[in-house]
Amino acid sequence: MKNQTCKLGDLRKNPDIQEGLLFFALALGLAVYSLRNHYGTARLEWKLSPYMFPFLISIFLGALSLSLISDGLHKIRSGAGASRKATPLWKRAMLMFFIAIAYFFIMNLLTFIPATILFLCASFLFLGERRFWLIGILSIATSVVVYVLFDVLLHVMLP
Amino acid sequence: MPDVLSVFAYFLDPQFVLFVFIGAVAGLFVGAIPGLSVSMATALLVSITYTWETSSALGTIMGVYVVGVFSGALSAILINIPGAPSSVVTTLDGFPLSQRGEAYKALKYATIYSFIGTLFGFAALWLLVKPVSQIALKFTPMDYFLLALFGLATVGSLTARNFSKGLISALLGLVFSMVGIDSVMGTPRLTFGIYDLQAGINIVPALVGLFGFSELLLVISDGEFNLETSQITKAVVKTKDILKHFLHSIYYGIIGIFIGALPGAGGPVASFIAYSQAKKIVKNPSVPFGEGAVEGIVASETANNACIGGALIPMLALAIPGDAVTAIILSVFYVHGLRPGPMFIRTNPDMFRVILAGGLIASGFLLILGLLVAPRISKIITIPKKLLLPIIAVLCVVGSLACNNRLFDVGLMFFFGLLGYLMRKRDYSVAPMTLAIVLGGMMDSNFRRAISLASSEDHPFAALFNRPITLILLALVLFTIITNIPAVKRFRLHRS
Repeated sequence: MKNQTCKLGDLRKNPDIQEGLLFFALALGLAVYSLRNHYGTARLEWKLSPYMFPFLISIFLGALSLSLISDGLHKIRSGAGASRKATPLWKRAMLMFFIAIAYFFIMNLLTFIPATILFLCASFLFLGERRFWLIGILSIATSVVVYVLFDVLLHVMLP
Repeated sequence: MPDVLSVFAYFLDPQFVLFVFIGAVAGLFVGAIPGLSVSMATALLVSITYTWETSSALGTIMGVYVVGVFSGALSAILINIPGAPSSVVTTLDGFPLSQRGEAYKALKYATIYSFIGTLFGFAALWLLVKPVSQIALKFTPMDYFLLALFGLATVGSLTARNFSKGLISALLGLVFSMVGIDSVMGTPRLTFGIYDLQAGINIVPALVGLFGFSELLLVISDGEFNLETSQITKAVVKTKDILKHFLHSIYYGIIGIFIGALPGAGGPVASFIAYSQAKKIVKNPSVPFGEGAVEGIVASETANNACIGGALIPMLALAIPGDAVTAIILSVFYVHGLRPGPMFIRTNPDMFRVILAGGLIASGFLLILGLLVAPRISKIITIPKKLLLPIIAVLCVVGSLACNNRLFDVGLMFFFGLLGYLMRKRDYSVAPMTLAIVLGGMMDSNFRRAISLASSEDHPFAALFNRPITLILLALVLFTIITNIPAVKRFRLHRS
């Protein structure tokens, strides 16, 4: 019984099996979407249907996700299925991602240059830079240079 | 084929040369700094050069491409971390040489043979594009579909450790390429009622996200922010000694061109194969391979730079990119309203000349920058990434905004950045996805066209596959897929 629980745990922790299940669900969703729209809204012959290619993709994606699950099972059987532990720094990457998202929203409120200065200061500090004079100079200079390059010279409409 | 004079006329155009130079300098730094890649820089450049003249945009991108591939060797030699994947093999002998105090010698060999490799690649491009285009003129819609499928299958098999993962990445890319108004029937697909998705997924934010922002997140999660470099002491290295390996470099160049022309293989595979060939054909290396043999640097650097010209051949003649950077360059063509393919050389000979001239001028800058500037930039390689990464993040945001002035595109860039990061963390290469996003529309329309044409025949299946080219392509696709299926691989391994 204990052995059985252990195996189920292995199945749950194995990244190949996790990903295989995710992609299988995606393939299923894509197949349902393609069939529903083909028979519901398109009502064309398959050869002309815009949903033929997505449907074919869903079939191949389904088959590949099963292959991924089979790889995972093979690894568990051969004893190589230990799950990888995420490095602690992935949280850092995610935080950086959210800082960038915040920058994107703040840009609409504060306009480009102030938002970019704020974002750069926050990011330099977040990544461990502690020389405040350098943070100040780099943040202001980069914001102004990027603004001049894109808005003034390349006519990109920055917020 | 463009005549020699019309290509070399660009050498006298100061504005064009300046754009190539700007690209070359950018490529030198981007390629040399580990964590910043040529594909990242090219993706960002697509957005920056969006409003430029096509020739200026292509000139700059060729500068980044040619010099960026070479400059990966700088960090490989000086800090034992390849600046680009194609320079991995260069670390094997380059870093031991630099540890012995001969970094200058290693850099000089890398520069000269990267230059020679680039010239081989562009000579092959010049000579082979027209014959390949003529063969491609005979292609039917089914052939195009199969060719693109072969490209995706080979990219999937060569860029990912697990073939299923490579193909899944390609299939996800195909799904993304389906988003928007269908080009044949005009029906919205996979837009889920989101108005901004009706125009489809813009390639620029997708590329900036997959190659720029995701790489930035990866570097942050790897946490390698500060690096130490070897000291460079200038020494006399005789040109006669360097050119002693020229005959061997022809062989490595041919390997690079051939591997570069295969979709997906690219510089890392070419340099690895050339290095293993060097170990076989060089009977008496200066020191044993792996301990600082210049012969290893010659093989690796000639092959990876020869790949550039090789990768451009299928991109220009068949619209099938040879690697991630050429996939991005292909999107530059699309962004500027050009359509590479069998008719490209006839309909746009000017652009072909621009590419040739850009590549050749960039190879000249490679030589100059490699010999004069590279030995002096060891400190720049080690610019703390905590200062560079936030600036790159700003460029990613602005770059994705630049193509259409739509904030929605910035959202797309974040989406692809996060997706690319998660995929890379889980060993999924983003190259097949990029290729699929670029090729998906073409595959869809050609497949449906082929099926429609065949269905009006008496024997539809025979009509689809009754031509030798089609059968060869089908056999190639099936061979690539079947030989990479894990169960088949395990069976072959078991038998051997």
